[in-house]
Amino acid sequence: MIGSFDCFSQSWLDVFNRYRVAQAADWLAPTKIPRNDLRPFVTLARRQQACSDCRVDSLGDAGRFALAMQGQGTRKSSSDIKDQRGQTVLTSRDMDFLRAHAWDGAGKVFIGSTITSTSVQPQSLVMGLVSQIGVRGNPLVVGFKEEENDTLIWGYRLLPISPSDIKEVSVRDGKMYYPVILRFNIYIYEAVDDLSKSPFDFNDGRDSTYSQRTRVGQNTSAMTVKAEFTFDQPVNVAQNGYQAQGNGRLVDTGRWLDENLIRHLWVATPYGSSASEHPALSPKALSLIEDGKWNSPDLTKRLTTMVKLNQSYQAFPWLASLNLKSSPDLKDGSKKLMAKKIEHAFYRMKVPVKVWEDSIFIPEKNEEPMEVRITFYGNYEQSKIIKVFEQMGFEVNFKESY
Amino acid sequence: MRLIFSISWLLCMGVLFSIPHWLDQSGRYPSGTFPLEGANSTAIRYQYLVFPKVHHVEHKDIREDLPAISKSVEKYTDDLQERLRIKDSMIDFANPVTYEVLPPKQIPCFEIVERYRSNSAALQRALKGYWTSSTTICNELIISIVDSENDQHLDFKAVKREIGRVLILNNSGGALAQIILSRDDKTKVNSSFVQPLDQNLDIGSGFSILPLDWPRLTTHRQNIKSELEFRVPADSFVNNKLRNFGQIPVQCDSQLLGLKYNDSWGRTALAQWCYGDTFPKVLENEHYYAFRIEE
Repeated sequence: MIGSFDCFSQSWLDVFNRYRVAQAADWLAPTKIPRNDLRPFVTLARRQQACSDCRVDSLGDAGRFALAMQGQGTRKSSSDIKDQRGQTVLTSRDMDFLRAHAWDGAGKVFIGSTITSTSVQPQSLVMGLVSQIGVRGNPLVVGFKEEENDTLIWGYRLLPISPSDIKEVSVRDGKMYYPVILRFNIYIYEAVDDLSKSPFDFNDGRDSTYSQRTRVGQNTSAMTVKAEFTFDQPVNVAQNGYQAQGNGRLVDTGRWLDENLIRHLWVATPYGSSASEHPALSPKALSLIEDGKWNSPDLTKRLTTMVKLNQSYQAFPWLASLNLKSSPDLKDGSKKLMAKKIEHAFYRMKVPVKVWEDSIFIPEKNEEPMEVRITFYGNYEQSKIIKVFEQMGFEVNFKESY
Repeated sequence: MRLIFSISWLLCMGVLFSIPHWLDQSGRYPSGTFPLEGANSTAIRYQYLVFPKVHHVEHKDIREDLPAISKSVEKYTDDLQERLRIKDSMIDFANPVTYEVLPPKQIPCFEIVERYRSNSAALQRALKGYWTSSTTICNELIISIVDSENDQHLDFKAVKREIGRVLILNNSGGALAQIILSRDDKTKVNSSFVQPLDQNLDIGSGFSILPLDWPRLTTHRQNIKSELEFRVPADSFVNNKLRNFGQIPVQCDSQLLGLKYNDSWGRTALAQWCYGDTFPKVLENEHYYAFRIEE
């Protein structure tokens, strides 16, 4: 679908007719992810042990994605995992790594506000639903405005087009435009069961609308979203609104009709992950985890050091545009971004490091050094490390190690 | 004597230039005009380096501060190039993934249905109106990932990793269907499924990083512009990689054309190519930057 007002490309008529209702197929195997979202990770790390209610092994890519996203969104505890005798099985740091393993192993694409885009367009949401849930059977994740946690979407239903959904034709610049309202339900996975309800049947043919998030099943809520799309030719509906006809093509990316509640969208890619963001996950660490040797001493080799880096405004040019004195709040985001960029530069070289963003000192001028505390997991040649920094545009000055 | 020599010379040259075509059994059409309209190329394959973009937006602090930082950058300078350079510096580019694209192979549509036997039912539906005639010609393009040892994307075993696509186009460049090829890294089993496409639409990667966001020129022609230089992100990693491959500086022997458009997934996309190219040289959207390398 799509286009600007000057360029036509696609109609969703085919999409509407072909993929009206769908649910995430690949995620159906574990009908229930254990309430304690840490449990599957523990199992992952201690694979030798049987786990009666952990089904992470049966999860496909989409399931891993779902699990990772759920972990991402519902992280409520950072306490250690202990066995029945009170001994620590996994520390909170271990759990972070394991969660990140699921996160990194799940290929994902972010749609929403980034440095180069503004927000989620209705067209992106519809295509996300259709191409991911409808075609591939993968779940989606949505970040709703004013909600702390991301939410899993595991089904959708494009509602029939009623005669009142076809709006009056308009004329702009001598061209005719035909607006049509599309309403669709999104079905949200609820982490906490409502035992008074039975599991929701996605295919029972109900075309109900829900003006707000409404519980419709044991672990499913529904919500109706409305958007207006504009076509270059008339759209006709048949079969009580279930069949859209016409040769019209979409000429815009859609317009939210109610308040846009969707802040961002995560889509699982079938490609897998090419861009791991977590610093400590070397392939070696991953194989140790998968072999059940998580506590291997190889993983505990680490060196934490304070590094002075010159030319920080050259490595991070956006710093020059920020007035950090008048907007100190921006410091947190900038520090996090700087930390992630440094970690990622090392990760590309398969060197796992952790950059402690709270330790970052941002100088007021490029001539002054930036300071940062970094933990290296494993032993690496200093020349290799310096090379990474220099490729980022820094000049390096190691201060001390401990 | 001179005449005999000239005739012999022409004959020899004719034979020499014809031999590669006699030996070529692929049936591929290097000077194909799809997806773009050029016919200058004689390459029998093309390679793209694709750099996945990493926005780090899974971190809440970054996500929440980005709009404000973005505004500061807008106010900081009126220089568009400088603004772009700063914005590029806020994105990370992952290790590149290599994709290979084979140019179109002209083939009767029914042969494609026969060849992909396990998908024949779905292909018959997708190629409805094309495959029943023995004379209707389709164009088959193959895009596949090139896996190399130590590639970062192989660090994570996937149940269904997308390894390539087969695109089937009609004889006017409209995409009729694509066969999506996947591989289970654990069981080492390949699988595929067919997705019908709308022949009036752009060919698109969807949400993957396959470099096949090729605009359908017939629908965007009025927005194609002549440009001065190829877009290369102001990122030292990307620049170093391309330089190591001997790809930059890069320029067109003919006119450089560019198209910014809204793709079928509601995103802004960029395609750039030299007049006469069959495939875009540069492709960019929110999720990746792709550069077609000269081998």
